[in-house]
Parts: sequence; C-alpha cells; structure tokens
Amino acid sequence: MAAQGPHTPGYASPEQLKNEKRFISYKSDIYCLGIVLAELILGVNPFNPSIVGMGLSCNDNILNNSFCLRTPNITISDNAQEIISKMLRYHPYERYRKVSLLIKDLEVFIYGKS
Amino acid sequence: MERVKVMHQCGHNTKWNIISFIEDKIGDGLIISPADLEVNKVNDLPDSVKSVSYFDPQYYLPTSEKKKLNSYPFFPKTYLEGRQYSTQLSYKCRFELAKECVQYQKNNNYKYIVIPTIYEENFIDNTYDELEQLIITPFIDAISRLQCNKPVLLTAMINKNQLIIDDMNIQLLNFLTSYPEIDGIYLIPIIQRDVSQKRISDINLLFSLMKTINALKMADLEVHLGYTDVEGYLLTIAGPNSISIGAYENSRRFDIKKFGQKGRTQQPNARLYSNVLLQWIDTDYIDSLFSMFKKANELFENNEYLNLMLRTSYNWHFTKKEPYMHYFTSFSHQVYSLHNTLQERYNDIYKTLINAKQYFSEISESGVVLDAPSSGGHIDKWITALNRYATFKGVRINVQN
Repeated sequence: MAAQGPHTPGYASPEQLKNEKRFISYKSDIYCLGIVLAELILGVNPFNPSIVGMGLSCNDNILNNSFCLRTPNITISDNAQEIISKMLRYHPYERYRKVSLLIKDLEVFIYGKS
Repeated sequence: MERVKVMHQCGHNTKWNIISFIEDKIGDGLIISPADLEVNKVNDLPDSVKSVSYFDPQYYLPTSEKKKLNSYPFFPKTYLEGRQYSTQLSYKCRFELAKECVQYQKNNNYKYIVIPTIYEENFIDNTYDELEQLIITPFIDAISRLQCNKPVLLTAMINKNQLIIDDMNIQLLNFLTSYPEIDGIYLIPIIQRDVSQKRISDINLLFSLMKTINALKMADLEVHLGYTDVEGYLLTIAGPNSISIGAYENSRRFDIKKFGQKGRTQQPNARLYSNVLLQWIDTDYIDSLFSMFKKANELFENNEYLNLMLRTSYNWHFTKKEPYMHYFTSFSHQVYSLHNTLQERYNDIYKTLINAKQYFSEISESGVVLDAPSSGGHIDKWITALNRYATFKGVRINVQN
C-alpha cells in the first residue's frame, strides 16, 4: 500500500488513507462530515471496531468499507441512514456530487420539503 | 426514468438532419458538427433550432487542418496560429481560447454549453490531469466569468479498457463526477471493431457501458450519448437523457479519421434500417427478401421514404438520402415508443429482441442467407446484456423457453 497522506485518524476518506491525491477533494470532506454526523447521533465513530465488530482500528474499517449505523441502544432512521450511507460511499463517484444535493436531501429529511 | 430524447448527430450532409428535424419533425435537436459545417452556415441556423441543440466544439485533433473546423476562430489550430495546444501554454492563453469558445456558444443561445475534449489513443494516469489543466478548468472559469446560466456538458470519450477494467472505470467515474459546475456528460463510446462488424456484440462491454451510464445518472448527471447507432436502443435501458441518430456511418460510430485532413475513402454498401431486426440490411438483399420472405413488408417501417425506395427505378447508393431519412423516422419512433419505468422499458426491449430473433430465424428458413454485417448475430448477446443489467438493477427478467 502507498504511504498514507496527511489525515485525521478515524475521520479520513479511503482516498486520503490511500493517498490517491487525484481524488482527494470536497468529496473527501463530505465523507468526513458523514462520519461526524453519524458519531453525533450514535455517540461513537461508525467505523469503530467496537460497533462494527471487526477490524483493528477505524482506519482499518474505513479501508474495508465496514461501518455500522446503530449501537445496541441507538438506531438511526432509514431515511437518515440513506443520507449518511451515501456520504460514506467508498468511491468518491458514489457520494453526493454537489453539496447542494446533500443539503436538499437533508432539508427533505428535516422539513419534509422537496 | 425520463423519456429518452433523440438528437441528430450532424455529419457530412447536415442538411438531411435539418430537413428531418424541421420538416419531418423527427428528433429533439441537433448535435452540431463544425467539421461538417462552416461557421457562417451554423450561424444561419434558425434560433428555434439552436435553442434545442448543442454545439460540439470538436477539439478531438486540435492540430487538424480541416478547413471547416478552422473556420471557427476558437478552434485551437486557428486560435494559436501554430503554437501547440498544450499545458505549456500560459493559463491566460488557455483561458482566452476557452472564453472565445464559450462566448460563441452563449451568443448562439444553444441549449447547453459544451466543454470539449481531445482524443487520446491511450489513457494514462496523467491524462486526466492534463485534460483538467488544458481544457476543463479554463472552460469552467470562462463559463463563470461570462456568467452563463446554461447547463454545462462535459465531453468524455470512453474506450473499451475504461469500461471493462474495474480500476480504470472507477478512475473515469471519479474524474467525471468531480466537477460540481457541470450538469451532464456528452459521452462518446469509442469501441474499436472491424468495419465489417456492424453491431457491438460484446456482452461485458455492453453491460459495463450500461453500468457506467447508470453510475453517472446516479450522480445526478445528465447523460447524452453521442455517435450511437442501433445500440442506442439497447442502451436506453440505462436511462440516458438522449441518444443520437446520424446519416453516414461515421456519425453513428466515432472515427477519429473524420477529423483529420482526409475524409473517408472506403465506400460502404447502401443499407436499409430494419426496426424489427435492429439491424441495417445490405440493400443487395432487398429484392430477394421481398420475393422469398413472405413477411418482408413487416421488416421495415412503412413511412414515406420506404415507398420512394421500393420503386423498381430506385438506384440504391450510400450517398442517397432516403435510407437515412427512413432510418431517422423509423428509429426515433421506436425509441419514443419505449415506456418510462425500468420494468416496462425492459419488457419493451426484451420483446423487440425476441421478436428480432424469431424474424431472423424465419428469414433464414426462407432461403435468404444474410451476410455477417446484416445478420442477427448480435441479438442473443444483446438479450444477455439486457438481462444482466436488469438483474443488476433488481428488475424481474424474462426467461426464454
């Protein structure tokens, strides 16, 4: 594996961890925001081995695309899971292509408007 | 799914496309080709046509000496007056060139602003960086500076390796989806094959192309397929916004030679499109089909152009307009008849393909032996590619008995 680029462990996108400079972009930020959003709800990083049940570290699970959006006590609604999952897609092309699209989905989720 | 639009891929005889579009009311607009139409003639097109059409700047070979291309002041060879169109140029120069091209598209009020691309035989790792520096960033900056509010299409050529090699496909998709400023992709598949092989009959390739179109659509991008032939009908299963129709084969299959100094030298046989067989039939077979195959009159859409061609006095030749005008009408009717849910569209295409298979079998039983370019060798593979994509999308597939 190529040397990792600068990153915050547990909050970096796969392309940052793999140091794929060509693909490190605002979509890496969307990925990071997805992790933070999930952690705010769950109280724990969604890639944390303690809830994923595998991997040695969050980074390990990020590279394996293994995350969990529930804890024994907290479950995230299907609609919110859909949004966060799209933010946490492994390949950048599968994530939100524009921040405005993410905002639109969040507004529909929060306010029910489209 | 939305209704799939049909765009005229203009070529050598653009006037046929214009007549078909304006008088026959066939198609949703034109993809204007500067290699085939000088700047003054393009400027003379009615506003009502331009506003539903788009202009492909065709930087494919930036050093091309083709006269018509060089009639456009923003064509790189003309603009740069002998300097190489490369990233060695100053950013200001790349930007000014882009600005001129964008200004032209804006002034003409085309439906989209199209960011061009250059033709690369082999994509290597830094090709994407070069495209970005040379073309994409200057164009995006020019669009912003000129305050264009038109939707923007990015031209992308996609070759076989980029479709079937996973890493290359992911790299391409990451690249194409990395510009929030663009609204869609003008996607040109470059599928090299022998000139005698008319249809693309590679299941993996077709399936990968469908998946790629789907991935772009899922990223909220419009997808406009350029230089498509009958394959466009099959590819509608992936939900592109538009497919194309063209007259001569080099407007239905991208050929870089078209953009060089010399045009096509090889003269093709005249062919007639059969919407039932999803194939272009060598017109040498027409008399035999009508005398030996009882259902021959079911093979070709009976529009006004068919009657003109089936007269005994008609001399088939690939340069005559009637076969192409017939195809424009027949093929677009076929595409417009498709339903707009995935399951229904699958059923429509599947039914057409099974029907084609049956007709090919009956033609063979009648004693007419179609040669490879007119044959139905592609049908079984198209059914398989269709079923594979439908399975990938979770659509209920039909199983042939």
